Amino acid sequence: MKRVGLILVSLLLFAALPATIFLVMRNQEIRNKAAPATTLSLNPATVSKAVGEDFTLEVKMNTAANQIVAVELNLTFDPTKLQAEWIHNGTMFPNILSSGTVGNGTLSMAVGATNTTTPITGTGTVATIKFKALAATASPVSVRFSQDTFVGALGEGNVNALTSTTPATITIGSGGSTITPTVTTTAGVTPTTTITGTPSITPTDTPSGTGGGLDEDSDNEATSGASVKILTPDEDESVTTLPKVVGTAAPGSTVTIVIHSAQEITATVVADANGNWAYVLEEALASGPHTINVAAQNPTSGETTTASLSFVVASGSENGSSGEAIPVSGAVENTLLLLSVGILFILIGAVVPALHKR
Amino acid sequence: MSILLRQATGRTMSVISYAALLVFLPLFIFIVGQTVTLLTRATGMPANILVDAGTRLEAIDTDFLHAFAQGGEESNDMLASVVGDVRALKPRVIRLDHLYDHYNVVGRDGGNLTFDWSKLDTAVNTIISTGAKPVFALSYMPGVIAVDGSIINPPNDWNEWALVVQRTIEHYSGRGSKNLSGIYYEVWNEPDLAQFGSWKMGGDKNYLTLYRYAAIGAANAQNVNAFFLGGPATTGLYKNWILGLVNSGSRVDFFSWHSYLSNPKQFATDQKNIISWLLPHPTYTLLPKLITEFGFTGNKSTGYGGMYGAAHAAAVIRQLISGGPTYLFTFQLKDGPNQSDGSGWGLISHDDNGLKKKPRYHVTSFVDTMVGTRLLLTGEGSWVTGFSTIRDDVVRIFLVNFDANGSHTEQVPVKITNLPPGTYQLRTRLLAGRDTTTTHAVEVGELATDILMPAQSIAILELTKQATP
Repeated sequence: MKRVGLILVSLLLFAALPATIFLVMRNQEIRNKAAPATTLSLNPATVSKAVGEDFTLEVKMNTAANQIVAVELNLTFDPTKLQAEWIHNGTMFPNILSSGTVGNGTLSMAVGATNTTTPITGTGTVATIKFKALAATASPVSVRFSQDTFVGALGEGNVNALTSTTPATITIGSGGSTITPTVTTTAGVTPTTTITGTPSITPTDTPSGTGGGLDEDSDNEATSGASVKILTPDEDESVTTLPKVVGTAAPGSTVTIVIHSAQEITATVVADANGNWAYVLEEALASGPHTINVAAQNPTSGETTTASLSFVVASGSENGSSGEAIPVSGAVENTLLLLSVGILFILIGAVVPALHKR
Repeated sequence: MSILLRQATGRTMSVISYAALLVFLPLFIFIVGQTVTLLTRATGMPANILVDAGTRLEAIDTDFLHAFAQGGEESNDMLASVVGDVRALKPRVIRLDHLYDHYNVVGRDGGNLTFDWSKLDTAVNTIISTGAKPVFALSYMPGVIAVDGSIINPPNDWNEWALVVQRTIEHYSGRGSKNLSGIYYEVWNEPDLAQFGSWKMGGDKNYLTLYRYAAIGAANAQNVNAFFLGGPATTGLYKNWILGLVNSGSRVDFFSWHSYLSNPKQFATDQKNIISWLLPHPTYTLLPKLITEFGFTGNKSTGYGGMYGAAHAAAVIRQLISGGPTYLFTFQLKDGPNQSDGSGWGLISHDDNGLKKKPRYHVTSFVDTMVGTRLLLTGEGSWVTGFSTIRDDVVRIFLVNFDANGSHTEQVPVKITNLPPGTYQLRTRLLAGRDTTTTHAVEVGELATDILMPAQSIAILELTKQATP
């Protein structure tokens, strides 16, 4: 009878093990979903300028639910194409912790809240950067955040609260200039508008309302029929890790596609006679938010037009399923610790009765 | 030689070759290094200053400069004879060390410690009479509690060290005593230096233990005003010391270190580094940071007696004018005795050398002129650096030509853009040098001029629009 009881207990323990693992994983996933996701982006996301022209980029932050204490910005760019003239703190962070420095292809600055009792929340401008276009680009170049950009938040321990960054794509030519400012609404819509002609940029603060008067249907709406458009994915669409990017441009246009992921993916395709173009990714994208910037050069007029949008690769979409994106923050250490403790208890539960029986 | 080559075996030749390599390689590296240094000096970037009067940035204040330290070259009230000159510097804080070995504070009566504050109070009262608050470097170990009676040793009983700190805080921050508020208490002075104990971040002479018992003493202090406890006051900014303190679990209200660096730009790098280190520790990132001693060398140098020291200080201030520390303590206010060769660290010479003000003394008030709203300035060079401000519609440009290695003189082009049209007076002042004023008509929003900056010179250009008749 005792033997039967021992077998039953053992079976129960073995049944409990996968159940424990499952529950712990669920908890971990829920924790990850709840983790606030602070983002940094450059605005405008896409700039087209002529050689010798100046332009300004704003570093925008959305703290999500985090309480931000300080930010260390580190950015890189191609110094043969761009010259950074200065970087300065924006209105969101009044406290300059270390002054802005401009290096050869690098920019850095640290800013903070006034004190830890009044941490920064919401959306706003962290810093402003002024560039000069130095040389024409064969394909767009980017200004992007380095891996060591760090956002410190209360309650986050020593974890970087920054979950994603969005770079800016710069096209430098000898012709007219276009600027594509990106405006992010709290609804998560990121419509873009192309402005042609005037080379000056008037950065716009991110509105805190529900759309800021922007027509969501105007996503990727170009000002002329020859302008490049991204048809799929849709803005903020959750996609698989190998999404297909489809769009239109003037027939015969060379379309440069830049997908900003952990590693920047750049591809070039040519629009067919009907102006259609498509690109299927060859390498899987990581889970989380991504940005596509496309630039198309009209073979007839030489005009370059641009478009951009953001999309999300859903967590667990490797098998093709689509679901709600999960922020990438979180750690497996807790899971491993709990599993180890669980296994220890199981072993003790199995060994102690056996020893007792002897 | 040919005989040698014929008779020598291959192995012998190999040995000779290796020996030659070992001898000449360091020599070769040295020569290359010297050449690179010379080339670098010769090929630095000259400045081409451009000020955009239309781009206004953050507010610039100079409070952080009004911090001074006084060393312990004499165990008495060293500042008593220079109160007027120190007061003229408008000091906000003055740091004092050697509290427990120069001022006979701690004694023993049987089994109990006794405290006599009279001598230290005299020095502190002198500091207060200059308009400053004292900053106390809690140093060194009172002989009566120290192992072997050595002031750089740990105490025989750590609780007695905690009591010494407690009583110090109660005496100066206590509401029933001196009743000072917002006082900084810094645990030790240059603990990493052999001269001051060669404390480590672990082992028998563990600074964290020294700090922990100081924090215990601070926690035990009763009926006291708000105060700051911090450290580690090391000879430089060291990551393991800063993070060691962060991870110690002890109370930390500020971080401090000393900077004796000939390269002014390293001061800005240090600021960037400490923020980077502290960012993963958000509750510590914004704590005050005090450079409690600074200079171009920790050794005595005649450079401190002339424009070299002044230009270095000005160049450091330029680097820290934005995103700098809470306080930058100039070391030190007054020379010790027997330094008539001008090699002392003091801003003012010793009584035995006439209490003369050195050029470095005048830097603080010179820079104070620059208080205002920062303007965008670009085009700094390898030697000439600067910043610009505007206050009451007067544009000011601060320039310093500091050459750490030589005597670089530079003719510096200066252009100011986005000026309203009109007639302007341009006053050019060099610290301890010429003071000239010229008149300029501005029609298209720009004013261009140039200024001759001799080596180790400091200048302020002041542009004032004349009233329209």
